[in-house]
Amino acid sequence: MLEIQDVLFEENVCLNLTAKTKDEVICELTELLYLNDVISDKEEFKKEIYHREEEGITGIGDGIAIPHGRTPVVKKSVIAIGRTQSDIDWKSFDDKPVRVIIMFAIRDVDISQHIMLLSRVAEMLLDKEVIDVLHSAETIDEIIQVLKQGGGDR
Amino acid sequence: MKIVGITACPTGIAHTYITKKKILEAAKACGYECRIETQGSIGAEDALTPEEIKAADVVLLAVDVKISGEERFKGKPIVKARTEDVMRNTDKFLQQIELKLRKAGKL
Repeated sequence: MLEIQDVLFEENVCLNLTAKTKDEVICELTELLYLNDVISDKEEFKKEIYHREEEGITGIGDGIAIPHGRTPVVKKSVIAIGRTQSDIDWKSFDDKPVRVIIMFAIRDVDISQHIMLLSRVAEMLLDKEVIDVLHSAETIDEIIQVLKQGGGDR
Repeated sequence: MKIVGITACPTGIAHTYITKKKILEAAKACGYECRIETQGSIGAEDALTPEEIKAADVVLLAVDVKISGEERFKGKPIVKARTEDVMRNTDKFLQQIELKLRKAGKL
């Protein structure tokens, strides 16, 4: 059974993004994924992210957004987490700005276990405790811990 | 009110499952019985049984993409909406369905 650490790595988390706009957030997190060898082509990945953005709202409320891209340029399915220092204008279900961005990079042909884990993480983003920790955590460990616990209730 | 439903989104990774959870939580809060089948990128999970469909008062399809097995709901009241419309204010969305069914004498 896969665990949260199989898709969430410390190197793909940045709790003090410098981005001030949605485009800058997407750029900064894409850059991070590229540097960490998760994706092989930044432009192609961003194209896919924007394509999904056009299909519907990814701001799921409570200051959290989940842009996601599924494309062959993703080498391994992971989650990147970014937190901004100011409110970001991002279309969301509660019409509130966003501060925490969970970016899903999904490998085109992936084993279902990985996909299931990513889906479970998505579900957890509705939990009050998880939301609070994402907004307030000072270390990535705090985030990993709360997502680990959340995994047990399904 | 007994609800059965399906959620499905373009990527089949996130919204499909988030919407399901939102619907189940809202249904519980409003006192409705609810079963949701997800049709994500890994296929259908928690598939609805013919008995569950038969017993349901309404079918809620929160879908952005074409789903499979829609013919199973033939003859039932169906509410079809995009996932984001259901996500936005899920409690209210479900309550409005109930109101509509009551007015139509179907509850």
